[in-house]
Amino acid sequence: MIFPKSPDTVNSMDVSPDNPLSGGCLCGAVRFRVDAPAAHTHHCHCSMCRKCQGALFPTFAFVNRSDFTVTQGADHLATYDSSPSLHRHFCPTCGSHIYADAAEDPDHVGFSAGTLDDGAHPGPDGELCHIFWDSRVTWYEPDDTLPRFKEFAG
Amino acid sequence: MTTSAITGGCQCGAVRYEISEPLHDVSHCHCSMCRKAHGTLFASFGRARRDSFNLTGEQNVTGYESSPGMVRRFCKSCGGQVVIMSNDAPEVFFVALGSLDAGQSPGHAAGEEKHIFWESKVDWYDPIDDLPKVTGYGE
Repeated sequence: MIFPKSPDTVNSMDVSPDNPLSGGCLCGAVRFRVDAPAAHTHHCHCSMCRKCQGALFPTFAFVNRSDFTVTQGADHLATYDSSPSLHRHFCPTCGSHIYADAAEDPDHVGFSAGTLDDGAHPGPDGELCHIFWDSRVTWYEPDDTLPRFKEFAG
Repeated sequence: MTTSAITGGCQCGAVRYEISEPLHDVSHCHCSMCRKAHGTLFASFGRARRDSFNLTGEQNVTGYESSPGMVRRFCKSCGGQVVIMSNDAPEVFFVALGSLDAGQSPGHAAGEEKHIFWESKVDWYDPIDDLPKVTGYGE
């Protein structure tokens, strides 16, 4: 299983279909809406995430697919498969990685938390942690108190 | 050359580069444009002289001008952000440090690292470190 916990377990009043989160890419071609808070949000230090997004640790927020809607530019998105079953969707105009999904787990998506408008928190009641911690860069290390996992965990 | 070259590229390998000398002035940028361009909470860059930077796979690179004269260059195939070019600084590239191979150090000197646009940071995560935090570019 790719996404280890069901987001169904989170029940927050903060994010709902009546009060969704919004986000999009830098150029504005792609926009999305999130109708539920993320159950867990991971700072991923794996080399594939680093190189796909050109940053030290991309942050993914996991929600049910039914709670994630690309409201604009769905046809514009490009897809890169960093492994046979993991599909990463990005804007080909500005390069923003919007979300990823996995063939083994069709009911969930992980979206890039940095694409939320106004720096919004993807899941106020959900878990925040570091994954693939041992793959972190050699020269920078956050010293926060979040849990650190060697692999994908939740 | 007394030090090994710094190497990097995008995830799919269509864009590769080699830098013949250490980078300078590492900046972890929290501005809203970097957050959206990378989809991350902040993006880290190091400055390289263009003369020291050798890129292969140019035909696989595209760019987005996120503000006048500032172009973010990334791989057409995988979307990996590689460098920023600025008309204001035509002699340098700003290398996206997540694109370095194997998480290697950009080789910057001690004291040449800080968080910039700290005022734009998301309010729900602080990486916690003892680096300087400045408003804007801090200049």
